[in-house]
Amino acid sequence: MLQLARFYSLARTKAIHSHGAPFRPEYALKCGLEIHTQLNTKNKLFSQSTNSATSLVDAPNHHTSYYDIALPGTQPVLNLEAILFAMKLSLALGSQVNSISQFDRKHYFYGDQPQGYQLTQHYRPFARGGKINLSKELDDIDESAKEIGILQLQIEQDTGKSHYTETDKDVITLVDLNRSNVPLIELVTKPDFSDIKQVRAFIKKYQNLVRHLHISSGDLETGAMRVDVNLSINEYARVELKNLPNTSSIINAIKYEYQRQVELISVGDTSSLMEPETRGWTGSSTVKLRSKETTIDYRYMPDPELPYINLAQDVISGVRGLMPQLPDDIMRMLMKKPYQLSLKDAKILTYNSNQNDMYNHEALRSYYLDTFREFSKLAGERSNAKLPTNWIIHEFLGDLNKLQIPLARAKEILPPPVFAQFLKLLHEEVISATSGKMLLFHILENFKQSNCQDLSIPDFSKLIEKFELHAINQVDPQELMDLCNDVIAQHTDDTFIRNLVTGKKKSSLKFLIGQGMRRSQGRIKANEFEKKFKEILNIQW
Amino acid sequence: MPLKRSLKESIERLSSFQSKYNIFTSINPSPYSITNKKGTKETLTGCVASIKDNIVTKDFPTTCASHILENFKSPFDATVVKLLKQAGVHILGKTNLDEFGMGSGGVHSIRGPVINPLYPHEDKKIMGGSSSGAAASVACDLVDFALGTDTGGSVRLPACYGSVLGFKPSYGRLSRFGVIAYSQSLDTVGILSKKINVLRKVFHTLDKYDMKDPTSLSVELRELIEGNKKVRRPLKVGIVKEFSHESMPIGFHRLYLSLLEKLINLGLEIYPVSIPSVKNCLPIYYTLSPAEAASNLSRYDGIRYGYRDSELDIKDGILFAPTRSKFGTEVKNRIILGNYNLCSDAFKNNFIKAEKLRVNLIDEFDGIFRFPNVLTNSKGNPDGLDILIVPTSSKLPGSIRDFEEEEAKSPANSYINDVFTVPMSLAGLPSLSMPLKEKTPIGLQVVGQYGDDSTVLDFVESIS
Amino acid sequence: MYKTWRLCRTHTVGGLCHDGSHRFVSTGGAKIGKKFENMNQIRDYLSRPVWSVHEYLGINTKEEKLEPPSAEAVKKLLRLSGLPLEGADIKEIQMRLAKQLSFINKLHNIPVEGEKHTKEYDARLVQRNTKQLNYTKLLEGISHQKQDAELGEVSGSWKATGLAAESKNAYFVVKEGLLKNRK
Repeated sequence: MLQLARFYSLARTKAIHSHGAPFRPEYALKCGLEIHTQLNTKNKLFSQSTNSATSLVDAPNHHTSYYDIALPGTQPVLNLEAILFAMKLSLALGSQVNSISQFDRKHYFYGDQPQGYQLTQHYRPFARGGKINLSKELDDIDESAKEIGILQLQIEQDTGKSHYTETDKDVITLVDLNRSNVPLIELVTKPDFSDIKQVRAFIKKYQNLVRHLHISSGDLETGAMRVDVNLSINEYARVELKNLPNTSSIINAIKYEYQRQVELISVGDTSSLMEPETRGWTGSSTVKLRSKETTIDYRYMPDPELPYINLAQDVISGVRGLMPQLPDDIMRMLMKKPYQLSLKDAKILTYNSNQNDMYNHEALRSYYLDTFREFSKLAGERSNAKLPTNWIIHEFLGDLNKLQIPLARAKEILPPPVFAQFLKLLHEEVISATSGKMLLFHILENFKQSNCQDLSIPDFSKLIEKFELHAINQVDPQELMDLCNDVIAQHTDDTFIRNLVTGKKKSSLKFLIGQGMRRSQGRIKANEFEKKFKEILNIQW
Repeated sequence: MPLKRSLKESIERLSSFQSKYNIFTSINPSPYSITNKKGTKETLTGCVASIKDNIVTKDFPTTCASHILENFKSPFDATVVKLLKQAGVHILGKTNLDEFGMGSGGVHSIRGPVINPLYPHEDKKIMGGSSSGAAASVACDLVDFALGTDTGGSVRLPACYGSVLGFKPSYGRLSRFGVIAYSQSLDTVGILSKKINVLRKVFHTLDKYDMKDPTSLSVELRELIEGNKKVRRPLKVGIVKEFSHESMPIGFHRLYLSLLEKLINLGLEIYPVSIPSVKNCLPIYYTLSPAEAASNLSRYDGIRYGYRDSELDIKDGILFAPTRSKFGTEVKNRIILGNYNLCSDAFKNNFIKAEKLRVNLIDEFDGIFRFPNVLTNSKGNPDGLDILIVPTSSKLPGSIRDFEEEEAKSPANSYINDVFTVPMSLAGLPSLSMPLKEKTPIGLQVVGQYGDDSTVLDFVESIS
Repeated sequence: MYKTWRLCRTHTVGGLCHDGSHRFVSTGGAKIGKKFENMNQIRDYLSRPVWSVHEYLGINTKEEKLEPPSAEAVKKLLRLSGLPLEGADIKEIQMRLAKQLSFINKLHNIPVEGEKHTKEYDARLVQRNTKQLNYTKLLEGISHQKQDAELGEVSGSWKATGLAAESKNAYFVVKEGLLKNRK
C-alpha cells in the first residue's frame, strides 16, 4: 500500500513538472474556459461614471456615481458603447449575435455587490456560438489545427474590490466600488480543450484579439482579464477552478487538478467526483471552495426596468465595416510573398504585448508596410524583401530600444520614404551593412541628444561623405594586397597558416577576413578579402 | 392656489392633525412659506404639497417608514420633486406610509399607523395604504395635493378611504427616477387631491419623459398617443361583470346607481363587459410583486447608507442579517415569499406562469377598449369601450385592530383589499378613484386604456 | 339578459410584428355585452353576484389541508433573504408561507390562453416590439452620452462614503472577514 502511494505520488510529481503534461488517453480530459474581460469603454455599463484606466492608483470610491453606490431610487441606463465593443468581439469570433437580448439579475449578498445582485445576461445573452482556430503554424500547438468552440458571450457588470485586512479586534474587509459596474464580457468556451498547449495558445490568442480590437487591455495581471477553468475527466462531474491570477497558475492548476482526479479515479475513490464542485488555486494545490450543498441559488430574474437590446441588421454590417483585419490574417499575409516574414517577426508586428513603451505593434506594422512599399517602388524588380525586414524589425527597433526613443518620435526624422532611401543605399551597396548600422545609430543618437527636438531630416550623402562611409566598389588592388599581407604578417605562427592552407582549420579564414574588414573599417567587402587571402596563401579549397 | 387660512391658523391645524392622525414623517421647518409669488389659474406656483416618504428629497430625510432608512438623506431629488420645485410648489413635508410601500392598511410603519381623519381619531380607523399619510394630508386640507405611489392600489385605496381623488396615471408617464423601488414593473407615482383641476395641473407638470428612468414612456410614443386621439361620442362606459362583488359597503349600491343614472342622462352609453382574467389578478400580483420586492430590497445591507447594526455584519453565517433583521414584519414576509418564487423550482411554475397570465390580462383589456394601445400594438376594438367604472374597495375602512387581527390570521385577508385595484396596476392602465359622496369613504375608479389619461381626467372633470 | 349578449367581433390586430411573433389580439374570454337600455337592467345586472373572491382564491382553507414547506426550506429562504435564523419562528413562517402559497398556487390550474404564442417577456409595461437600434443610432447614441453631475457621475464630485455609518480612509467597511465566516 505504501509502495503504491509512493508510486502514484512520484508519478504525479513527474507529470506536473513535465512540460507537455501527458494527458493519458484513458483519462480523457474535457476542459473549457470561462473568461471575463473588462471592456475599456469610456464610462461604466449602466451609468456614465468613469471607467478608469488608472485603477491601480485611483483613490478608493472616487469613480462612483449614485447608481454605483446603489442609492435608493437610482436606475440603470445602458451605455451603448458596451454594445459596440461586444459586437466587435462577436464578429471577430464569428458568433451569432442575437438581435434581441436582455439583462437579468443574479442575486447574492457580498460587500462588493452594492445592489445585492449583478446585472448579467443569463436567459438571452448577447451572442451565441463562434470559435477560435488554433494552428500549429501560428500558435505553437501539437495538432495542425484545433478549433475551440464558443458557447456564448454575455455582457455583465463587474463587482467592486475587496481588501481583507486585520485590525487587532477583527478581520475587516475594505470595499472599493471604483470597479463596480465596469462592463465585462463573459465568454464561455465549449469543453474542447484536450491539451495544455491549446489552453496556453488560446489565452494568448484571445488576449491579443481583444487588444487588437481596442476593446480591452487584456491584462491578466491587473485583473482586466480573468480566467476560470471548467474541467472533468471521463464524464465525472465538472470541477470549476477559480483564483487563477496569471497564465502559469492557470496551466499549473489544470495540471494539478488533472492529476488529482486521475489519482482518485484510479484508486476508485470517486465519491467526491460525483457532484460539481468549485475549487480555488492556492499556488501549489487546488482546494474546495464550494460544493452543491453550499451552492448559492442565484435566483436569476429578468430585470424589469431595462429595455431589451433590439439590434437592427445593419448594426452588424455597420460594425463589420469598422473592423480591422484580424491578427491571424495579418500574420498569414506577412508570412507570404512579398514580405515573407518568419513567424517570430510576424508576431512582433502583430502581437500586442502591452510591454513596450517605445512602440505599439500597429504603428510598427504600418511603418514597416509603408516603408516596404516605398522601398519596393525605389528598388523596382530586384527588390529584396529581407532588407526592410532586417533593418526595421531588428536594427531600427533595436536602436530605438537601446536609445529609448519612441517610434512616434523617430518617425518624424525617418518617415517611411526617407527610411526607404536609406534602404536603397544599402541595396545598391553604396554603403556596406556595417557602415549602415553605424550610420543609423548615429542619426538616432544625435536625435536623442537633441531631446528629440531637432526634426531635420538626415542628409545621407552628406553624412556618408563626412564619415567616409562609402563602400569601396573599386578596390585598390594595392591597398587590398597591403592589408592582407599586413594581416598575415601578424600571424607568425606556422601551425596556424599550415592548418589554414591545408584546409584542416578552414574557419581561420573567417578570422583573417574579419581582421581585414576591421582594418578597412568595413569599407571593403568580405568576399574581396576572401579572394585575396586565398590568392596570397594559395588556398586550393 | 394657496390655502386661504392665516399662517398661524395653518400651523396650528397642522400640529393638531399631526398629533391626532400621525400623517407626516417629517415636516418642513417653514411649513407654509410666506411667498410673494401668487399662483395663477394655470400654474402651480404657491401650491402646497406633501410627498410620500418613499420618494427621495434632498431637503428632507427619506425613511420609507423603516428602521432600515431611519436617518437617510438622499443627495438628489426625485425627478417629480424637482419638477414640482421648478413649478414653484412648496413642500410641506414627507408623509407616513406602509413600510417600503408594502401594505394596504397604512398600519405597517415604524412611526405607527396613520389614522383616518374622516372618523373621530379615537375610533382609530385605517386610512388604507400604502400612501396613507398622503391621503390624510389631503383629507385634512393641509395641502393642495399629495404625491403618492401606487403599485397595486396604494394611491387609490387610501384616496377612497379619505374620500378624496386619487389618480394612478398610465405606467411610464410620470418618472420613477428617485422613487424607491418596491416592484418596478408596477410602481407608479400617483396624485391625490380634492380638486380635479389641481390634480390635472399637477399631472400636466409631471407628465414628462425622463431619460434617467429607463421605463419612462418615450417622446415618440407620447406623440403617437396624442395622434391617436379622436373625438369619441357618445362615450362608452363599461361595468365589469367580474367586479360585481358579493359584498359591497352599505350604501354603495345606492350611490353607484345614482351615478350611473347621471351618466345615462348625460347621454353616455353603458355596457356590461366581462374580463375573466380579472379573477386571477391577485395571485398574479402576489406572485410577481414580492419577487421583485425581494430583489429590490437586496441592496439594504447598511454598508453604504442607512441603518447599520453597530456590532455585527454577519450572524449564523448569513451576511448582513443583523442589519436586515430590522425590516418590519410585513416587509420580511414579502421578501421571504418573493425569494421562494424566485428559486429555481418555483420560478418556472409560479413566476413565469404569473407573467404569462399577466400577458393574457393585458390582451383582454386590449380586446375591450376602443383606444389603441401603443405598447402592445393593439389597434383597438372599433366596438370597444372608452372607460370602465370599477368600485375601489369592497369594504368601508375598519378599525386598525380588526385589520391587524385579520391579517394575522392569514396574509391573504389583507391581500383581497386590492381585488379592485390590482388589475389596472398589472395592465398599467390610468385609473382615478373618485369619492361618490363628500366625506364618505366610498369610491369608484374611472379606468381608461393605456395612455388614455386625458379621457379619464376629462370624464372625472365633467361629472364633478 | 345574458342570453341576449352579442359577442363582440374577434378583433385581430393588423400587421404581425416584423419578427413574426405570436400576436393576434386574443380577446380570449373578454366580451362586451349589449348596451343597457335602462336603469332596471343595470340594477338587475349588479344585483347578481358573480363570484366570491374568498371562495375562488380559497382564502379560508383549513390549516390541516395546507402543505407547508419544510423547515430546511425555510432556513434556506432566510439565508437567501439575508435574514437571521436566530429569533425566527420557523414554524410560523412555514405556516404563513403555506397560506400564501395556497393563495398564489391557484395559478397552477389556470390555463394560459394561447399558450404557445404567449411570451412571458411581454408581461412588462414597455413596448412589446421595441424600436430597433440601428447602426447610425448606435453611433449617435454613443456620441451623445455624457456624464451627469446630477447623478454623481463626475469623478470625485461627491463623497461616496459620506452616507455610510462606518467607513475607513474612503473605503466602505464590512466586519468579520468575508471568507472566514461564510459557510
